[in-house]
Amino acid sequence: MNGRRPFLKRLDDSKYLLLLFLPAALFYLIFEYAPMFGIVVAFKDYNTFAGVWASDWVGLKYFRIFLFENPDFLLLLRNTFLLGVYSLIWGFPAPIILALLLNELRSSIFKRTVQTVSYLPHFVSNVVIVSMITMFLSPDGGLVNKIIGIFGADPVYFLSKSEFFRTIYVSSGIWQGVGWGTIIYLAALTAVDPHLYEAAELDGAGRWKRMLHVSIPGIVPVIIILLILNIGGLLGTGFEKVFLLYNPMVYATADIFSTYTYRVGLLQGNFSYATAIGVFNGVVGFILIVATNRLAKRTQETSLW
Amino acid sequence: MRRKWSMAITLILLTAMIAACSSGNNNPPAASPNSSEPVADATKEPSEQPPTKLTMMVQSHPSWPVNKDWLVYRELGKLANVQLDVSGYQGDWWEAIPLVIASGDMPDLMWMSGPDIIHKHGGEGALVNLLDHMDQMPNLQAWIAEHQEITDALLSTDGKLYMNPAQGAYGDWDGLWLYREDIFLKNNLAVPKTYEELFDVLVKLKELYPDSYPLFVPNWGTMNQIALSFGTANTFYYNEQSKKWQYGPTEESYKQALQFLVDAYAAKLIPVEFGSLDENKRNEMITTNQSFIVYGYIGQIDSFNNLARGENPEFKMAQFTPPGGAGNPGYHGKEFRFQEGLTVASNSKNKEAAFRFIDSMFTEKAKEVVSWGVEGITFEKVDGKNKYLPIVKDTATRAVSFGLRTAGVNAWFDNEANISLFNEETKASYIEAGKHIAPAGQVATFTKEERESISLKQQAISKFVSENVSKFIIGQRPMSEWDAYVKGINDLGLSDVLNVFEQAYARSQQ
Repeated sequence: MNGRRPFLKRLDDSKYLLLLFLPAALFYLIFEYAPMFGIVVAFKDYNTFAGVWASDWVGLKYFRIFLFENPDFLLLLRNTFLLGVYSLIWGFPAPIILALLLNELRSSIFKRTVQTVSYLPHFVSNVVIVSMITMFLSPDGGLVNKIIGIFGADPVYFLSKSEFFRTIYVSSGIWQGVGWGTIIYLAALTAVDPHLYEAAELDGAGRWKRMLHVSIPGIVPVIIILLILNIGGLLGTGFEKVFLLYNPMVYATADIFSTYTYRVGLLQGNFSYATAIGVFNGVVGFILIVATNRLAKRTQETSLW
Repeated sequence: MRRKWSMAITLILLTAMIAACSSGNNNPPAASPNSSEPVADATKEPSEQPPTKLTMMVQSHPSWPVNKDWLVYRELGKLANVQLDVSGYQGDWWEAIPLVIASGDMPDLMWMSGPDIIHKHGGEGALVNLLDHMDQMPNLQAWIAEHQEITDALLSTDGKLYMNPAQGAYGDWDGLWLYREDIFLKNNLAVPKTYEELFDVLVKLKELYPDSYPLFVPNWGTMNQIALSFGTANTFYYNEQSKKWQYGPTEESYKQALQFLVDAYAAKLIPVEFGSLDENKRNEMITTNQSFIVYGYIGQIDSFNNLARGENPEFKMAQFTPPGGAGNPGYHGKEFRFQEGLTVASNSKNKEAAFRFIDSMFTEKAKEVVSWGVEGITFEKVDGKNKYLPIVKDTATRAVSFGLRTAGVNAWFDNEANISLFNEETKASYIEAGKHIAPAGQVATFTKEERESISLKQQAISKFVSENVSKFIIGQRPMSEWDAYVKGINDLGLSDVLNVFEQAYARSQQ
């Protein structure tokens, strides 16, 4: 190759592309990068009247309060982390498996029906889902307890027992999200070269072996990318569903960063404290996403960047 | 040539799009204060000046959204010679208020609720200390002299008053115990006077109605009321006998109150789904004879009766005289302090008019306007007493159509106006319930440092208590572990918090 063409010439050549990119760039600059200055609020004692710049600088005070003086910090960390990890371990493979199974179906009507029915729950609001869960698990006539009663056991008040909270949260989450998640994987599966399937069949591979050696390797890049993205969001476990589902009896496993912040930060109007917690979440998410990306690059050669 | 044209058209479209989007997003914050001529001539009567424009932001309640043309704004404006330009906070008021202040563009008058928020923003310098301008507010000064405790409860740690005091809009008390009078009469059950008798009555009710949970206790919050009837409280409180600040949930009387609930849950007298109940479930249980005693609000007597009488014409919800526990008198609740009002922005350009307006709300005439409205339009005088005209059907129409008893214009309110809207049943319950209200509790106001020093500990204690009290009640934790539970609370720094309470209270008593 000759030396690279001078910068200005390259700029001129792609001026239309840059122009097209301009609105998106402006959007990100204004709405995503500029607000990052707000992080400084976490290091200040924010006085709403005096404004951000005039407020006193307190350094790491709120971080110290949150991380070290807070007796519940380890509990919150453990709960948030475990809820996220369990959702990942159980909830991540589910759409993949469903997509692989759907891919094997021959009857397209059945396939389409199953797809539609399975991603309907995604559109139902968390409030409705939690109401349904409360009804089904009710110790006083709920469906699950009625079934338990048939086997002769006493009704169990599931929602009051901390040991059940994660199971309830994760399994309802799977039911909510599995159908929607299959969409991407099914799309990726259609991109797998049909010749590979034929070649495998010729070599004597049965259904199962074909899935294992053709389908799965075909969608590995998609799996990795989604995995990286999901891990980055690990500590950001949703506020809404946990808040609706929990009660004081299950705080031991159900109280997470966001519900804690809601009770403490919001109700006291302490912006600095709430921002400090948000910054902490962001930093941890960033570390996780960079680490996972690096791991993926080294082992699989597929990565986000 | 064609390429040039298409470039030009693209650029024009782009510019048009950017222009359209940017003007749409720029919601001008609440109309910037109009600076009218400052009152130059102090000797002139206010009524000879043209009315000063005052901007005001209040809570826009979803049931009666703010309407700039409400009668109450016009009339009050006439009284004080101001022209009110009223708007509502966008979204939840507790989130919107800090945003309005942070924006730097505050209206002249801002409605706020509760001492915490006014101390926070007053301390930051956003609000005017009304006590510095009492010379301009003679009516308010006279009113404060007659209502010193109400005002004292609003003072900051350095003795400043950032919000006008208020009284009367929601009566003197907040909630009350209700029960199915018809069920008790039908089964010849006597109204219990103590919690032991209450337990027996509940057991009898359970025998008569095996599928019911006679006492509706949705979560540990009901301890707020029950603890009061046992002579303690569900939080930090000032004990008038010992003259000390104490924490209810560690006390012996609280243990007895808790034991009542523990036994009640075991005997299935309170809902087994303790902790997961919501309003809909409550209404369902009450109207289908699954629950007979519940804590609620005076307006709910009517709403429950109306809901249920379609199917069950004998259904009658009435005031349930609260039984007492451990030898203490029973109470519905504590005297209610209505702590909402207006604050004046420290950078307002119309402070004089603002003070004049606030002062005018503490005259008898204004009290009549905000409670009853305008004679001939909303009320009439019958035998010397005020009576709403038929156009005011209930509290909802009163607010929606005329703005009566809405945020910001209910400082000195005639509670008789509220009572006049009750039907006979509710009125009887209201009057009876008023006999069982405990006096208002003492208040401790903290400095910022004090508040920060105890905030974490308070949070941790509160979480520990709510978790463990709930577990005691449903039997997940046996009451034999009570001492371990008290030790747990003490270990979280309870004595430190109590010391700060004493310190702050002592300071306010000087």
